[in-house]
Amino acid sequence: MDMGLFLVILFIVAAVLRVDFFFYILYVFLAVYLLSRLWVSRALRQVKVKRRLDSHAFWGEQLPVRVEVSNDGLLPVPWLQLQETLPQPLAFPPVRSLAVSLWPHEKASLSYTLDCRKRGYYHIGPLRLASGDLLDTVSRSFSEQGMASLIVYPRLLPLEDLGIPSRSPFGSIKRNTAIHRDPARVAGVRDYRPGDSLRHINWKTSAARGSLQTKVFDPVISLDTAVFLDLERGHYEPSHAITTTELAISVAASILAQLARQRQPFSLIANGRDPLAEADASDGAGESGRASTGPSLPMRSGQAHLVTVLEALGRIDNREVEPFAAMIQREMVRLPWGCTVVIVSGNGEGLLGHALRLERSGFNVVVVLVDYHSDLRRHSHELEMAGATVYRLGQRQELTRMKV
Amino acid sequence: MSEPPGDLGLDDALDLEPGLPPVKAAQEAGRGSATPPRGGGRPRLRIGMWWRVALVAGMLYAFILVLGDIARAGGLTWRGGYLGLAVCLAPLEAYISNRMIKRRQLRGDDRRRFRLAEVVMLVVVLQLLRFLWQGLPHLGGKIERLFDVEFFLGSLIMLGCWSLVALVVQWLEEIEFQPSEAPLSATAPGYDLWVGSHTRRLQHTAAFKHVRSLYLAGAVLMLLMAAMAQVNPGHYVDFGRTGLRYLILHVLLYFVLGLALIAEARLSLLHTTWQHQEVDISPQVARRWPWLVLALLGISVAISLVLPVQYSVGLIETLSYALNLLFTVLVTLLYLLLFLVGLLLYPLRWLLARGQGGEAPPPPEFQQPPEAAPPAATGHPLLDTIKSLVFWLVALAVVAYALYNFAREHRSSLENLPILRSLYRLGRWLAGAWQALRRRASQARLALAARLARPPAAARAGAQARRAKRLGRLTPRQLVLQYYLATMRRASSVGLHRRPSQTPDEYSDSLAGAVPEVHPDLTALTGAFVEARYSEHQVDAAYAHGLKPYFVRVKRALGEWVRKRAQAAPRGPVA
Repeated sequence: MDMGLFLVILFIVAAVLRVDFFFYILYVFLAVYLLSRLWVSRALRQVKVKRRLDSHAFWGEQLPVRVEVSNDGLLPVPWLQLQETLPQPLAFPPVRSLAVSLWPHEKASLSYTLDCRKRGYYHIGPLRLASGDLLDTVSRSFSEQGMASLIVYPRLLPLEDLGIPSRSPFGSIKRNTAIHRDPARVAGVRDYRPGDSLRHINWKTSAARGSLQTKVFDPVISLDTAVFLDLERGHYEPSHAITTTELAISVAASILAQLARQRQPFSLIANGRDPLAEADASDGAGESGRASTGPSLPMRSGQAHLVTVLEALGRIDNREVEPFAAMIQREMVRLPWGCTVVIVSGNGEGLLGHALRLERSGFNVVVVLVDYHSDLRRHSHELEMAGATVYRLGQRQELTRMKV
Repeated sequence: MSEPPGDLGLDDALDLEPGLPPVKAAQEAGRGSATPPRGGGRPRLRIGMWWRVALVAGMLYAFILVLGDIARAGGLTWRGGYLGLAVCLAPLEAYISNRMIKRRQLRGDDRRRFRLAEVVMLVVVLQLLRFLWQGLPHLGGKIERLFDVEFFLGSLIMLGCWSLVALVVQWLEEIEFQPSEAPLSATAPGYDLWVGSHTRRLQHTAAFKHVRSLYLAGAVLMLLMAAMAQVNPGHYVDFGRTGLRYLILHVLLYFVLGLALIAEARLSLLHTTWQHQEVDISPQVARRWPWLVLALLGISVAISLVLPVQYSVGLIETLSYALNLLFTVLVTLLYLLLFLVGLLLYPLRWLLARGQGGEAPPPPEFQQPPEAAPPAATGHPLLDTIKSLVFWLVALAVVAYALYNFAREHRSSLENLPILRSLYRLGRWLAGAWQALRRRASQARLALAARLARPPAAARAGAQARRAKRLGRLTPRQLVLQYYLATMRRASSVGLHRRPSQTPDEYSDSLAGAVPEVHPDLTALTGAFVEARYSEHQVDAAYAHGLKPYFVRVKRALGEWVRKRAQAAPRGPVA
């Protein structure tokens, strides 16, 4: 029998028989019925949820998450079920639930740990809350409006383990003698010597000292490093594309981290899909919702820039948004003259032409091939013949030992 | 003997370890035993079930007490105290027998034989209790005297209660989480099946709903039976009699115990659901539950004590009185208004009377409006009527709210009823008619507003006269300018604006594109305007007045152009 029907029958019985006690019973049930509905709806309005977690995590980190739920109202919440939805790569089972009861101004928390063993950009939540009354007259549920996001950085591997020399392999090459002079980097002044270019005389200092002074340039030629990450599926062995593209991302991140440690300027250009950029594009464009290019980060140095680059690599999806050829053609014109171009790719297919063009344009080309499933000898030989420095990752057994 | 994992009840689980979430403990206890425990051993009662059995026994006892009241009201001598005791044992017996049937996995004929044995045993126990209660009857060598009417009636009641209680106990057990439903390890072979299975969960909810429905149906039956015992059947339809104002304790007992049972069953159902979903359950939920139930019931009882339970005045009379009261208030306001008007006019009347040499009239007096007579009632008529009014308002609210909820919850089934379908169609037709009426009213309002905004013929004539007079006062130069500017205003009002960069001649040419038939008139007006505006010589008055026909023709042409454009414009979609 339904409660509403019961109330109607009770009312009819009470009204016909005119027994006061029956009316009291009717009122009690009616009050229970109405108060329960009112109670649940009012109490749930005052329930506030706060999720505490870091928005970034390193690969392999155990990230603690704490979901705090508080009852800010004056009514107690008889029962409240919290159900948190989690990304499956970071937690299994991908749901965490808790049932609590909250007095007024009481707090409860749901704590769990995310096992950050997969690089990526994840949404944590939404948190679903369900509550109801004591006698099952009403149940309510709603979802948290906002979701938290988490970026798990790619795994950073020691370059020696990957078969790549870690001591100044890329970027700045320090020479004892200056083979080039960089007029942008003035180290100081010295007395004029015959044969010095008149363009390099510092006239102000000469006037101040009463003798001709020539600018002395920094003998170091800073070869900035641009890392091109090739995620085009055609350049990877199809059956292992997922793992090898992940490996390529890790290698790129490791190289960039090494460059940051050496305090060299670096940039990252990749042709993978960035979900955040895509979300921004969809917000801005409204309809298209797709970013046509991958992340392209400017040439900078420092830890802050490394964090930005690692964030981009953490978010990036291993599906290309544009062909690698188009990307390198577009970005080549923006590169500073003489910089080192590190191309991280799969099997090196189709890279020969780009390597030649880059070499002829005055860039120092380094190619890292990561697709250890393919036979890399032919492509690497061709690239070496074109003047590029080629690194091939170690054999599969070694990588397996490293748990790459 | 160690307790089998399946015997871990809710309360047991709650008392396991204070720091450990109970469900986890229960899961750990239940994990790995995907099949229910089998084998022998004594059936062990769970603490949670003890409470439930006790609550059901109390409710049955209340039922037997009401039966006794009916018997006494019917003039019979009630000697059935033993029956109350017997039915109190019925839930316990039903619970134990259910457990035994389940444990021994009795099916078919075995199960029927077991039940038959139970029936015989119950009847024997009932008779034994009867003999202990009343003493052995004088048989006089006739054994058939044992099987009198009381024997059959008592057995019937006992077996009826027992069969009902067996069902309730079974439902109460079904609400609980069964050991066989314990979550499996994610690597177990049947994990996917277990995750995807919602059948058991649905059965738990259905069992709870059965218990609640039975409780509510029993409550109605209890009230009817209690009324049969308290109210003379001849007075059922006597609406003029006063209400009965005493407490019926055993009915109260039934309701209190029933609410406690429902609240406890609800908690069990929640626990079961959460266990299915592998939710960590805070022990506070169970600890606070009884206090919150008590608080809810306490507040509800307090509210019920404040509300009126008597209605000395019927519904129709109350509504009639309420309308009368409203009418009286309106009349009083009218009287007050008239009194104030009289007060304002009194000085004038006084002056008029003094002017005619008569005596000063008396100042106006406030006249008492007719009072709304409350319906005939005993005691304090007004107070009784107000109480009745509150009572009927509450009653109507109860009925309306209950019906609303019923209709909302059974919407799909109600929509299939033919009569309701017709009513629904009628409602839609009425809603459509109402919308059409509103649309027409809106159109009429707009038309009226436009009509009111348009000056009447007399006003138009007056305006023309004023304009002529105003034009007559203008100098010839001003008059020429006036004609040209008026032409410009009219053209602008129909959408032919002059761009700031346009010279008068250019504007004239652009206007001629729209109204080519008055091109010469436009040229004449423009030329006159340029001359009057930029020359310094005198403008002839006759020349200025002679421009009026040009202006009138251009005005007409513009009006015609607007009409043609309106006719040529595409019409909106036809509904």
